[in-house]
Formats: sequence, structure tokens, C-alpha cells
Amino acid sequence: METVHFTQLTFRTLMDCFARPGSKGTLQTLHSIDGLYPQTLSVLMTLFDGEISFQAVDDSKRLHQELRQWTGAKVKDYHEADFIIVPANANKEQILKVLEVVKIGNLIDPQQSATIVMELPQQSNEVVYQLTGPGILHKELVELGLSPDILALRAIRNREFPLGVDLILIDENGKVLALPRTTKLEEVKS
Amino acid sequence: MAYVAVRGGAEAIEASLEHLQYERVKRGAHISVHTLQSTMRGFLDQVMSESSLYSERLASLAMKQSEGNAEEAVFLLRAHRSTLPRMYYSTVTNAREMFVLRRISASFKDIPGGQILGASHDYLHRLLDFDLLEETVADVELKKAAFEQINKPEESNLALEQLPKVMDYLRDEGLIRKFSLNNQEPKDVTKQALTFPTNRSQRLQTLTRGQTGTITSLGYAGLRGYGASHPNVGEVRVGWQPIYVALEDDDMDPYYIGAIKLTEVESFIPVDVDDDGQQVLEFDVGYGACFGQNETKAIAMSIVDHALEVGGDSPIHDEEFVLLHVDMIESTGFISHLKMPHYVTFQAKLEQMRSIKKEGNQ
Amino acid sequence: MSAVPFALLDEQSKREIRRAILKGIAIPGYQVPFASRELPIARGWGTGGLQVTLALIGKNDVLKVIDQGSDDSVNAVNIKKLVTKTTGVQTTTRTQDATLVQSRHRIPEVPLRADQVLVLQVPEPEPLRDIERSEFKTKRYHAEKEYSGAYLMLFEQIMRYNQTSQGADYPVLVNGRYVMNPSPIPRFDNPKIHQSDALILFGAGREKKIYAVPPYTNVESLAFEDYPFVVEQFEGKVCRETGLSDVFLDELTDEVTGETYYVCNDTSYMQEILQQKVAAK
Repeated sequence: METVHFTQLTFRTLMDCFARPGSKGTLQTLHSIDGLYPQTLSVLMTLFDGEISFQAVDDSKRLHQELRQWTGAKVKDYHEADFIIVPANANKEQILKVLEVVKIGNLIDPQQSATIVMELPQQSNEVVYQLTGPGILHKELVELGLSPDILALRAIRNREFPLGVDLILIDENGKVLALPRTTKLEEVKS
Repeated sequence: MAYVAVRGGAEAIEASLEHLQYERVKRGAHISVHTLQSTMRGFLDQVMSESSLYSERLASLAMKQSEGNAEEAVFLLRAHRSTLPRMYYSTVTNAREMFVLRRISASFKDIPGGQILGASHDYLHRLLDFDLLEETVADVELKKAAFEQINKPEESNLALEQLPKVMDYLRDEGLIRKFSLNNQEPKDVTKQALTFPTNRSQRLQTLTRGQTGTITSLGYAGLRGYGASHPNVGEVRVGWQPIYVALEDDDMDPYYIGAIKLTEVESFIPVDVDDDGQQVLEFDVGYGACFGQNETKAIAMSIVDHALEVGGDSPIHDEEFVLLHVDMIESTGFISHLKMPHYVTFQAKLEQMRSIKKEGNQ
Repeated sequence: MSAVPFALLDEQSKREIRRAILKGIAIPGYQVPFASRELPIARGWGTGGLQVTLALIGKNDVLKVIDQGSDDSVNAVNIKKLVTKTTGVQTTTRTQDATLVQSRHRIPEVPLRADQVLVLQVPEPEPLRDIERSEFKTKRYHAEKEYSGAYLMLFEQIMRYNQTSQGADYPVLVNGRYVMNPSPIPRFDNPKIHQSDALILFGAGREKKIYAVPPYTNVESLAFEDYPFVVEQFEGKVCRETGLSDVFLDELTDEVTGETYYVCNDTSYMQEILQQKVAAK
């Protein structure tokens, strides 16, 4: 498929996920690089160019360099980057440390906040959450393989709407789900 | 049914478009893009500047297609620009490297490197030349040959490259207000929306893209009393400016991609400066630059640049007033949109006015 | 010399618009600044909506474009022509058949579904512009949720006329946070934005803003307890062609008799009702 059509489809999937938090979209693949799900690269190809910056939660310079070559995006520190990439192999402590410092915008320009593209590792323990907020008709129940600690920190960073971070979660099967800053999550104890 | 286009609007529009095409050809005459490109320098320079697209060929095409309508020509070029990927930014362009075609200073009688008049309308008596009514291609070729017969000196000691700037002379003397070097990366206003307050790079870009007449009027207003400044034109230079692009992750020298014709103006504006508790008078520099040879626009731009830089109460010191209204595409677009049907909004208003009237009569 | 890309804009321009759309959805009712490209149609003629449409549209979309309720109006025809010329997508006049609806000044009478997207063209995105001309200041009012000016404006109208005199473009509060211009749709259409099944995107090309109301989001028209929000009332008036009374009506004059009559403003809806009537006979 030509890139223009591929990125268009990928964007529409992402847009639907943002508009309807909790709903899962299916991402297509076009290319792949080491260290990321190919579907993650699809998302990055759709959103990245020379006008934005990113940083991956990853110690290797290689990933940064390859993504720069793919997209032209600039690498900036965690507290300045427009996008944060969290590969599946990143550990929880690393993620929490980054999430603590990423930008959440300011009241005048709340859009100047980080978007976090996070890969969900395989075989993670899934917890059921109840989602509420704009885009959700009834309280939506979603199973998520995401540490409650991360979600708790997300809630703290998003507590002063319109400030906050938006999350794009991608699992190993290429399913994608978005948690914009407006979405509230509550764990459902079974 | 008239304006309420229930059905048939599409056909009417097609007919209007056909009529427009006919207007361009109905007198049966033809002009080539090549001829326009060779003879319409002033028009092309103006539309290239206002459209932020440097191509004489495309500007000539736009001129032909729009029947010489500047508003439409700029529109065509801007719209074309939106379809082009923009992969690189040039390196910092220094007008000291310009190959100078014209360079004058109103501030000094004699300047290092000399006053170079070049080609200018400034010294022309604006009398219609009726001989041109009958001019033929053969006449043009004869005149061209005659000019090219004029003896040029074999060697000249007149330097046209690496000419010093008038400003350097004043700066050496400590008469230009000192600022720390600002190496902030410019923000591209065509890729990121303006946010207020703006920085200088955003202001200069917006002004250089501005409609020539609008910039001129604003500069004039500033000069006449709606601004705090009466500048001295320090230097106007027009010439060929080399442009380079550097690739990231590449140790090679920047690549030369060509030269553009550029007008650059530095105006000197006296300002009060507090020098360690002592009031002294120093010069500020107002800056103007645009594609092609557009001296009036560049001078006016230098006045407005300085007015916005220092701020103040009158309109030309107000960045939102200036920057949000100088763009040709935006102003002509919104003015012309008034011609579109507005009957739903009008009906909503009508219903309300009737209701208010009824209420008042009760 | 150069072929025009699919959906006209280059990939970089689309990316910027797409990023702005995602931010807009994440911050309902907040005006996200974007660079706004010049298009082959004039600023003020729907370039904001058009840029959103061009950033969204794919080969499988079916597009409907309306202006003032009509599929056949000057502006609608022009926009539709440009999009089809650069994408080859199918168009329709039936609201139900469209995946993407771009509109100026109306929300269709047929309720939109969850699998559809509505794009509205916006001339003036700033609801506070009438009370404060400076963008620098209005941005700060939004930051501080300082909307007393917007209410004061309506209050003054009520003091003067015993009702609000704001016609179309009646301001709304989105998700309890941002006051937003719904674009110059009649008040009649405001309730359709509240808890809509479809995502609604707003594009202001000249003013360089994109904003959004996600589906199932609370949207209230500004009002006072003792002066509730009211939509246009077409009391005792019906569409001459269809007999419908629960729709927004255009007021027309019979060229022969000089009489005033009314027809359904949403022309494709009117056609459909008329066709149903013919079929039923």
C-alpha cells in the first residue's frame, strides 16, 4: 500500500480510538524496525515528522537514530519531548520515572503536552477497568495489561484538566487503544 | 428560486467557470509564459514576495492564468505551495554575501564600497512612453544589442561581493544599541500557528509575506504619526543572495542550492537608552527584507518591524492588529466570503428580531 | 509540472492537522492552533473544514458536503468538486450514506451515527471575540475559565430585549470546561451536539484553529435559570413541500403571488421525504 493511504488508514484508526476511549482498533503494518512492534512504527510514521520531538524509554541510541531516519523527528529530553515511546521491554520503574517528568502543557496551551505511545508487553496480567468520560456512552469495561502504578501516576499527572498526557496503547497483536486525558479509569474488583 | 440553490447550482457554477475561461481568450491574442517572465519583473517580484514562493516561471504562469490579477496570482501560488513537501531549511543567510546590484544609503553621502544605483525607478520621470505602443520584437532586439555594445571596462575595482554594511560603521562607533546575540531557532509561521506574544522571527516572516500595499500603508501610518519612529534609511541593498542547505548528520559543507533576488533594508531609528543611569541617544535598527526588488515594501517593513519590536498604543505597534491583517490570502478571503449565501444565519437572526419586536409590542 | 498528491495536501501538512485533531479530541472544546495551509479555495470559504476533511479522507470514504443545508449550493459544490478531483472518492447527498459530512452552518436533520464524522466550517472560532478583540487576552480567559464576559453579553441582551439576541453561533459550554462557538449553525442545531453519536470536528482555516466535540460529551448552550435557552420557533409554520414542522425552515417569497412560504432547509432530507411520499402513493 502507498504510504499516503497507509497513514490515512492508521490515522483514522487512531482518531476513532481517541474519540471512543476504550474501543480497540486494529493497526496495519507496512515496515518494521528492531525493538518495536511493527504496528507501533505504523503509528509513529503517521504522527512523526521534522516538526516534532520524541524520546524513547530505551537506553539504546540505535532506536533513536533509526526513528530519526524514518521520520525526521528530533530527539529531545523527556521533559520537553512531544512524544514518548515506551517499548514493550521497558521496565516499570523506568516508565514511572519518565511519566513523572513528561510535559503536561500549561493552561494557556494545554496542547503542548506529551503523547505517550506505549507498547503493552505480552502475557501481562490483565486488570479490568471501568472507563468514564467524553466519548464513552455507558461505562465501558476494558481489560488492560497495564500496571496500576502507571495508571495511578497517570491520574496524578492528569488531575488538573485540561493539563495532562494522552496515551496510545498498543498490544503485541497490533490492537490499539487510546486513553486521552479526559478518560477516568477505575479498577473493577471481581 | 434565485439564490436559494435547491437544484441547479452546480450547472450555474460550471457555466460561470466557462465564462471566465472565455474572458481570457476572447480577444484572440496570445502571450507566452516566457514573454511574461522576460518582461514583467515588477509584477513577478511582488507576487513571489507575497506568496512566499520563489519561482519566476510559476509566478509568470500564475500571472497568465489570472489575467494579471495580483490577488489571484498570489492565491494560485500559495495554494500550489501547500502541495509541496518542504524538507529542508536553509542555513543562516547573511546579506553581506550578496552579489549586489543596487545599494544606497540615505544616511551618509559616501559609504564604504560606494553608492551603487543599479536599475531603479527612483530617478525616472513617470511619463508614458508612447513609442512603446508601436514597439516590435525587432525593436527590442535592436535596443538590446545597442546596450550590449556599450564598452565595459576590462577590469573594475568596484567590488560587488562581500560589501560591508553601513550599520557596521555605526556599530564600531558604539552608536547602535547593543543586544546580546539571539541565536534562537526561528519558528516557521507556515508550519506552526502564531501565538501571542510573537517572537521577531515570526513577525518578520509575517511581514515579508504581507500584502505590499498593506505593509506600505502601515509603514506610512507609522511615519506620519501613528508610530513613534521616523527612521533614516541606513541601507537598501538589492542583489543576488546565495542560499545554502546543510544536511543533518553530514560533515560536508552546506550545499549551494541557488541564488534569489533579495531586497534588504536596515533603517536607523534614534532611541533613548539608559546607560548606567545616564540617558544617551543610540540607534535601533528596523529590518526589512523580501523576495525580488520591492524597495518600498522592504522600507515600510523595517518601520513596522521596529514599531512592533518596541510596542506601544497605536495600531502599528499592536502585533495582533498588524500581523493578523496583513496577509493577502486571509484578508481577501474573508472579505470575499461575504458574497456567499448566509440565509440560515440570516433566518436565525430574523426569527429573533421578530420575536423581540413582538415582545416589545406586548 | 507536478502531480497533486492524494487529497491535495502534502503528507507533512496532513500530519500537522492530524496531530491537532487528536489534541482537539483529547481537550474537548479547546481551540488547538494549527498552521493552516492555503488551499485552492479562498480563506473564509471553508478552508478550515476542508483541511480537516482532506486530512481525514481515504479512498473508501463517501463524502457529503452541504452549505446552509443545501448539497447544491455554490460553496458545497466547489468543495465537493475539489475533494473528488484530488481523491476520486464517492459523494452522496443522502446523509445516511455518507461516512464523512462537511457542512457550513447546519447540522443535517437526519441524526448522525457513530460511524460517521461531521466536519463543520468555522468563520470565527473565538466565542469571546465580541467582548475582547485580543487573542492574547482571550486565550488567557479560557485558561482561567473566565467566562463572565460571555454570560454578561447574554445578560445585557436579556436586559435590553427580555431575551437573548444571539442568532446563529450561539455559544456552548463543552464538557463543563470550555466555552465554544458551535460555528454559525442556528440555535435549532445546538442540541444535536450534546451527547452526539458522531464525532464532530471544527475547522477554522483563516483563524488557524481546530477543535472537537467527541461523541457522548456534555454540551450545554449558555443560559440562565430564569431565561432558559430556546431554539428558533417556527410557530404555526410548516414546509410547503413536505408538511414537516419539526425541521429548520427557509423563508421564501412566491414570485407570482408575493406570499411568504416556508420549505425545509435541509434539501436532501426534503427530497427524501418527497420521494417517500411519491412511493407511498
